[in-house]
Amino acid sequence: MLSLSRVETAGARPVLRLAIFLVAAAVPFALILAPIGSFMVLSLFRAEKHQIIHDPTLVNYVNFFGNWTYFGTFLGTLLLCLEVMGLSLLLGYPIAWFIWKRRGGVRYLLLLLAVVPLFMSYIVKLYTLRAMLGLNGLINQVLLGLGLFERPSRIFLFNQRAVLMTMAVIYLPFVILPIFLALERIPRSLLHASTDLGAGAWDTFRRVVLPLSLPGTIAGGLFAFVLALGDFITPQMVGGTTGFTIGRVIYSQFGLAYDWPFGAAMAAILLATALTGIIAAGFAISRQKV
Amino acid sequence: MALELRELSKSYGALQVLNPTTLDIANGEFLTLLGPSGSGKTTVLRLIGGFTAPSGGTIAYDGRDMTQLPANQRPFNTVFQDYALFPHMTVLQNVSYGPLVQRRSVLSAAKLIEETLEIVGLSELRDRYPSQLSGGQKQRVALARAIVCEPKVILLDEPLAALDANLRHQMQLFLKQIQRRIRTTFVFVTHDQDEAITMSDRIVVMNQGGIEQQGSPQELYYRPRTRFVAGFFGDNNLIEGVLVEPQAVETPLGRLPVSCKQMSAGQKVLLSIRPESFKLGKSGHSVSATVEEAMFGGASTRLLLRPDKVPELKLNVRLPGDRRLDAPQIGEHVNVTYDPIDAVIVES
Amino acid sequence: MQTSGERRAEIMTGVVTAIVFIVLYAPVMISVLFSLVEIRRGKILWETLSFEPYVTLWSNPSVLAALSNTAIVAFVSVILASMLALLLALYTQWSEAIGKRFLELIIYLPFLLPPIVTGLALLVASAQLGINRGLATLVTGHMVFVLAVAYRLVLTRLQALPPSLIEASFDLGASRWQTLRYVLLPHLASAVVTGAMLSLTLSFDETLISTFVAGDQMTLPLRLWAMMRVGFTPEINALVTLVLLVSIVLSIVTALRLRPKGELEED
Repeated sequence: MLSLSRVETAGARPVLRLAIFLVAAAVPFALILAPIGSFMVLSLFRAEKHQIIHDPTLVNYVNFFGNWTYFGTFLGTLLLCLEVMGLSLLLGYPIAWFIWKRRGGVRYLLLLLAVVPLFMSYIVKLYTLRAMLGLNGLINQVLLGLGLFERPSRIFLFNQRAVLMTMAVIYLPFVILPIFLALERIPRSLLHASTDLGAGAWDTFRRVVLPLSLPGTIAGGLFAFVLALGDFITPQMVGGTTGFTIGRVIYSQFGLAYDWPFGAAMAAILLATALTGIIAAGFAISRQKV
Repeated sequence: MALELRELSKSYGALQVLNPTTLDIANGEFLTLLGPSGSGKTTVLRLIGGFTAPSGGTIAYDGRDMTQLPANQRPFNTVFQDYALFPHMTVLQNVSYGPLVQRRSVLSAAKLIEETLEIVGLSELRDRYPSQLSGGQKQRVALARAIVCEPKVILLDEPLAALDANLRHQMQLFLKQIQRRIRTTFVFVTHDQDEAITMSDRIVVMNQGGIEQQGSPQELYYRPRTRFVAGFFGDNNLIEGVLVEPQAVETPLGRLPVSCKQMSAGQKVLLSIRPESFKLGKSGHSVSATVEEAMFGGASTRLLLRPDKVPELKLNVRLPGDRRLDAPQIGEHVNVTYDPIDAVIVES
Repeated sequence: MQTSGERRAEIMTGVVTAIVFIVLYAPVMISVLFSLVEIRRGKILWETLSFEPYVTLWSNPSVLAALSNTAIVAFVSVILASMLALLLALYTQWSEAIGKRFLELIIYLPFLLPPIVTGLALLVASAQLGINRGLATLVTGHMVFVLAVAYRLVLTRLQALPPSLIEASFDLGASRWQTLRYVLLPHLASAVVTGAMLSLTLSFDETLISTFVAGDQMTLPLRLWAMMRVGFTPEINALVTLVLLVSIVLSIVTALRLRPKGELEED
């Protein structure tokens, strides 16, 4: 910890330190903390006929938990996001491992290739993926061509499955990168030592590589989870009527349904969920003695 | 005019790293703070430089109290162990930094900067960046940067620690020459006793937060006053015994003569005889022993002897190399003796 | 030296990688393809290959408006975020700062939370303050989002500064301001620039937060979303390809700058 004050000598008075803290924290407080606080406060109010009644109440939360339409959708969304996380980890780890095993320029080329799709417009990605999943889309064409299907199928689009696959594709690069970075941080001498002591490839992987790359993997998984949690555009575009997520419900509260307090309440619950996930992941990471 | 440290101490919570220490440093001298890790030597240096505040005591220069002054207002400059060269500035810019921030007149500073670069031999490298310099060159830049500020005292924090053996010897000579030429007080910190002996006008040996002994290299080497100092420089032979008559000590190895001033008989003392004080031969007080180890070292041969009388009390003996004589072999039985003037009594 | 088991693993993961990359790149390829040729009933009409859309797109007013909005929002929010990130990093590294952890948590929050929450929070706040949604709210939304990235980069760089450099500066007589100006800021400059470039690429494609805080002025992603029902013209695909190319260049430059160079290690 560097010190810009007289190194190590008696510091500023407590009052001065508080003042400087307030100056530094002013913008983050105003632009981040306060807005979050304001919508949490809003969740405690009611909306009646497009008017907000400033009367503190928990009715929004009661309505949410008590109504299976909403609560069930929320749970379904949680499950979906965990599936997205699982799928992207399942695909992402082997890919990151494969890239890590390459040497020299090939490695960075592959890494670049893995990351470039991130820079393509999210909307256009969605649009083309939707087209790919559709009746005349690429998937059906390939399956028809391979003779696995007789007729083009509707099962790939406008349902939960479509949302899962689309999100996995879109968020995969977010997962590959942290895992790769974690793998890269492993000193090569450890791998040599493991081999030197007689371990085979599988043992070295299981006992050395996997544990040491776990923090990065957890971080990557968390990334996918949180991103999927808040994504409401993907379900809207490829989810149809059965692919409904809580994100869409919240969004509509601020659109057609026009019940801001209710939307705020659900968003507050979403916030709590995301925070729980982050804390849990942080906890898991800090317990790795890496 | 001098640097005066009075009852200077430093603690971190319950841990006292420097006991109240009093020290005078004379103008123009090359003083070395010598000791193992944790002895407090670096703490003293950082207190003088102003990077740490003392828990007690004062620092004064030329009669003026410096204790409350921040580092950037003290007339002292430091050569850091990792050189601390600004990586985004050239050699010239690094060396010009002091005058720049102290707003000295550009013209007069320019002349001094030129001269300093000359003195340290860096004139040709002025436009290089630190990443393009070798260890020894970076050292010299750090030194030049300090010299340019014309400080009253230059503090050097183990500056040669990172250099390899050959370069170290060169730089030791170099630092000594520079110091003599610019006649600034150098306070040098090291844990290497050879370095201290060769470079210093005066050495302050520190141990566990306090000063063990201070004096010229010769004083510390030939007349150590504590067991720690006696054992610190080179392999020494420390033999315990009791003083009998004013000129001898009764030890397990026999009655060994010493030459010393008045001391009361019956006192328990520690006798120190340097390895190079021994020679082969018989005498009234010689010790007979078997050679356990023999290591040829070029200019001298080091022997480890196992005395007949007390096999556990190993003697370190250093014989001058002589191509005409065969050095004693392992297993050989020899007699060694010494001149009483070379036996020193260390307070036990 | 490699066992057969390991070889098999590498081949399998290689195959998985290849397949996934094909799937990842399909949208990119298709988009680029559509910008260059016409496709009817699943047949590529190669004779229609032309770069014309890349030229005519510049005369489409709504696209240009969206593009300019996106650019304005991106640059303004990134500049603001970079300056703020610098100040905040210097603050949290000050040894006598209070509330460091709390402040850092707040900084990272908009990046870690689902964008819907961040967007919502700003929407509600601006409504309660009576501020109309527009470029200002967009800038705010993007700024808090990229702040975390810019902050992290500057922080890492700041923590890599050897304390002896600061001490050396004081030792040579510099005041606190001079040390800041001559030693600290030059050291941090490259991290600020790198953070800015990364933030620009993030801001350009930011969609979710923008849907909540945008007013009548649409950014490019929002404009694209609106057009999704109608379908994308070759011009749109051309624009998307261009933005992609620029982002790729920016990201390569960023990656090169972030690679450990070791030039600061004093061996």
